[in-house]
Amino acid sequence: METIKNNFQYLLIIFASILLSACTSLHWGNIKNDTHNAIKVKLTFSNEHGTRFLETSVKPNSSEIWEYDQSSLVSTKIDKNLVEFEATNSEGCIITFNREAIVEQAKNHKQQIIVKSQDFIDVCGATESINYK
Amino acid sequence: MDLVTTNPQKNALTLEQFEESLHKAIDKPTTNFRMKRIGPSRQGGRREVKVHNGAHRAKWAKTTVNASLRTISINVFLNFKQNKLTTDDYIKLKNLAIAGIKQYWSNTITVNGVRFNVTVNALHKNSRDAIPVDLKIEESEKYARSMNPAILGIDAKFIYQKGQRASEKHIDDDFKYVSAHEFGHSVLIYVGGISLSWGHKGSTNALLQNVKSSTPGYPTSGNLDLMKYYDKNKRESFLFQRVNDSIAMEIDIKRLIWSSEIIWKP
Repeated sequence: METIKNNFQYLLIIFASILLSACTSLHWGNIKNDTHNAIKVKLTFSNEHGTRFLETSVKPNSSEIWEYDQSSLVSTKIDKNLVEFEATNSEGCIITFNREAIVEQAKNHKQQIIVKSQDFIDVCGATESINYK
Repeated sequence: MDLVTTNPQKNALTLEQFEESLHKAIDKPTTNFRMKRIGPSRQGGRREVKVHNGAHRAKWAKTTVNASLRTISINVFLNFKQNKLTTDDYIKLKNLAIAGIKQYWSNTITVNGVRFNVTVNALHKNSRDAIPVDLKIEESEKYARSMNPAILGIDAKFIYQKGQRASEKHIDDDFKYVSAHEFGHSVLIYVGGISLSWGHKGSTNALLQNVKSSTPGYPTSGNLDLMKYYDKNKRESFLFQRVNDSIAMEIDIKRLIWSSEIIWKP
């Protein structure tokens, strides 16, 4: 009886593993503020259910997380619904990443979008905003 | 001086009223009942009350109701297994799991019009009566799925996502949430079986675990049901909302009480 019970347990675990591996899995998207000041970020998500925005501020040298489900079959690991990322510093300088730039960012920083002081310097120089598009 | 005075004894909630209201709230009326002896025996107040046939038989939970103080203390017993973890990691994960269950499952509930403060205390117990839990650490960047089938004595798995690129606080908080959620599967399966537990209260397919088409996305504000899934394709979980805003719903706390042995203090 004990043997049957053990075998059934293993079969159940194998069956569950097969099912789970076929499903989507949870991912964390990480926005990291590597500057010395708080920044405001705006993320735009779009899919068949519509367009949604996440707007928040991120403290210096800290990070914020959003979560998404995605199949392992999707080639880019960063949220496929994230179509635009925008960050604004205290001086009003805006940097914007389109989907292509987001994928590049995530690839270079292992699935994180990292905003650095240099990004604002590179883009604005003085005070004007320029888009990475 | 008021002419009308209230008699606290007259209005005091009785165990029978508590049981009847609780059973009704979770749709387990005492039509199929057995007589259950409940109450502190040393005070001579041990009585028999009607309870649903399945009620109060789980050995991994014990509830103490103090009717006059309007407090409910629930001890839940889990057998946290160290396996290959170092002692430091084991202690850390065990303490986080205990803190998580207390944080997410303690709340207020109303039974028969009386509001109770409920505190849920998770305790480690190296016994077959406790819920068996394997504590694990995922070192890779992949988010490993924790689980608690809560059947056939299969161990639950609470997994700490050490490999995630996030702050230690984020990872600790996620583990506390996961521990509370996975513990909840033992409650749901005890009360409602596989469809309620594996189906996440109707929000997912019980076997595939994918969200149903009728399942909504994460709401823009307010509390989330600790035991439900939400469709992140309809609206993502922003700012760690799943971890920050979830709480055990009143009905699930009542389900936990229904599962457990009750000690009644008038």
